[in-house]
Amino acid sequence: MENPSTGGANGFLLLFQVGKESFGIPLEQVLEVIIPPRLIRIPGDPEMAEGIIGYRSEAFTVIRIQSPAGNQSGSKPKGPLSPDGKFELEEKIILLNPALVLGGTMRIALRANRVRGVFRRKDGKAGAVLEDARGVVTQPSILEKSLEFKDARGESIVADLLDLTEFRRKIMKN
Amino acid sequence: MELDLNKFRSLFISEAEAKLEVMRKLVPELEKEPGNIEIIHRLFRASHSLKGMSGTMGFSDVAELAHRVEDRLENLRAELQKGEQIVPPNASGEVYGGMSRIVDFLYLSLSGLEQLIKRNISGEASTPVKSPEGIGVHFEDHQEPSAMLTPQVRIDPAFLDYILGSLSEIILIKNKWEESLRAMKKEGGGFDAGTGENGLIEENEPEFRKFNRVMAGLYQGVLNLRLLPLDLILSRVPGLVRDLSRGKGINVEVSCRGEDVELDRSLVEAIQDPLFHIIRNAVDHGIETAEDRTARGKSPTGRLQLSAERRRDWAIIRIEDDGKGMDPVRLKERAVEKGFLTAEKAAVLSDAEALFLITYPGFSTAEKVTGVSGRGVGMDLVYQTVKRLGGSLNIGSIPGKGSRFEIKLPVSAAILKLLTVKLENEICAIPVNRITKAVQFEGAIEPDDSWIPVFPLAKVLGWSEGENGFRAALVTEGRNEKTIALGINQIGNFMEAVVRPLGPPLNRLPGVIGVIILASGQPAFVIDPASLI
Repeated sequence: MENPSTGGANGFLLLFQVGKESFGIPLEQVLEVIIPPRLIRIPGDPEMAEGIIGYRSEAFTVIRIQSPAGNQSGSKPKGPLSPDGKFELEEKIILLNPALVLGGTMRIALRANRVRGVFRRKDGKAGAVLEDARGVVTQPSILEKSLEFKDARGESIVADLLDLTEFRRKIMKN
Repeated sequence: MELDLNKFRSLFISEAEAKLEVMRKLVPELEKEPGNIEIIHRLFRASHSLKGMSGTMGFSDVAELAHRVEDRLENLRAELQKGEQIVPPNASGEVYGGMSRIVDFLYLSLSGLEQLIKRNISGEASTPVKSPEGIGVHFEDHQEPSAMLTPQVRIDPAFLDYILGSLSEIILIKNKWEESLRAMKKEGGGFDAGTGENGLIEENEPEFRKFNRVMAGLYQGVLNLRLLPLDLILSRVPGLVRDLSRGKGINVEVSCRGEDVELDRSLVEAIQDPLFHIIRNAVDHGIETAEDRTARGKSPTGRLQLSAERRRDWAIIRIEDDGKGMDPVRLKERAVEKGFLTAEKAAVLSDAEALFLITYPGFSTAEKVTGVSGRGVGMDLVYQTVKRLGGSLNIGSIPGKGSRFEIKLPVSAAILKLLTVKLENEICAIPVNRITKAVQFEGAIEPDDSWIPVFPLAKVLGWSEGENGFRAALVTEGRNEKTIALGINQIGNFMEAVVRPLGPPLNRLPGVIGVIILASGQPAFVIDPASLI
């Protein structure tokens, strides 16, 4: 059985950028990617969470991703803003699938400065490749839990595969 | 022939629980009135029913224990009918027999029956039943004559939760419709907007009002189905206190009042452990030995009173003992010793505030840890649990005289009447039953603590740094029922909403009961002033 936390052979990965870091999560663990609604501040400003959002009559907590390098998602590059200036056009909210990932008990979301897209991982004789929606293939090298590859424009990306089991443990411990 | 009795399992569980509940109530009554043969008859019938049902289900160990209970009761009944004297349970001196042994046996058997039933239900001790030909499952032979007063329908609690969840969604949709209607009315919308006539609005508004009334009635009806009497907990207290007091070698008389007060089932389930912890503390640390009590001019038997009453949307549960009480001075000293407070802060703490020190994690004034209490863990959990349930805890004590704990809980866990308020750029909601008064000012007002201390709510929540002027205030109660006011920017609307608990990592936010979804789809935090300030 494929290990969903690494995207597995023939698994789909959603790659996204937070600050200067890139991350990937298995697509089945994503509920939806949406344009950011208004982020509501949390009393006491806890370290782990940026705020809460409302979506389809549910409240989701937007978590700050702690990258392995220790950079929090607060340091983001400046991009073009929406007409009302409230958020960057490329910013998205990734809602995680509570049933598959979080035991059904948590409503968690991640804020991405940029979503790079869905990539399909194909394992072949020459090693694993990532194929995007247009069928463009890039050759990543798997470094433990990271994927290093070049996208269609030739830009080099190292994406950390988010281990959501570990993520959940951190949230529960908080 | 093998019978599949699994389909009768849930019926057995509810019937067995009903019989055990009857027995739990009757045993303390028998202890007080050992000559009352009617009580013995009723105990016998309950035990006999339990024996029959358990035997049919193949739970032979339960049936055997119930049979032994029957035997003891039968012997007792026979003695009474012969006119023999029964020794009361609290007889002093060398006489410790008769009723006291029987009551002990009954308490032990009740506990044994509960455990055996649980084991059998979970499958630890059950085996397929081989029944002789022609004998089916019949419970009606073992019913008490007056057990079924009216036909009843049993509802799976999970199904009730499903209905409540669906009704909550309908209420959300209703709120959105109302919001749209108000917005349309403001803009003068409707099919005949050109002529200025709001035909659509006026035509539908009475129907919306009717819809609101019907929905409110239906929702309340389903909420009422979830209510359970506190008796389910309070009936266990005499047995608990009996065990604890025997272990300590003290005498405690328990009285309970208000057992018929009802709470949402989730609250009844959740409040049991905190209540039992307070009771354990009272017995373990509060009530003195007979010698100590006599030396202090008190009666040798300690008193523990439990009472419950309903006040509008609240249930008030009180636990009072006449033990040695708590000394605020000693509590403050202990807090300084353990590093919870500096000496300077301890000096300005009021006696009422000092009593609340026992709810701090790790705080205990117990000289030793017993098997029952003393680790400083329990009262912290009690306080956190009560807060999590949307309630409040009040503590009172007089050294040498006794202590009083008062737990206030909302009757319904699901829907609350709320007032929305605006702070800076955010909206919050506060339960209406927490608000004494709402005041709107002309112009800005600076914080003034000369009469009622005013706390800018935005600053308390960490959303604002400065002591900005605010335009309105809500008078409410802070911790330990201290009157305070919360400074806000604007008073919003009244609304009813389902308060959803926050899951990790936000489940321990101080002062936050949960979150609601406004008609706009935006979430808003529900704030509890009593646990914030």
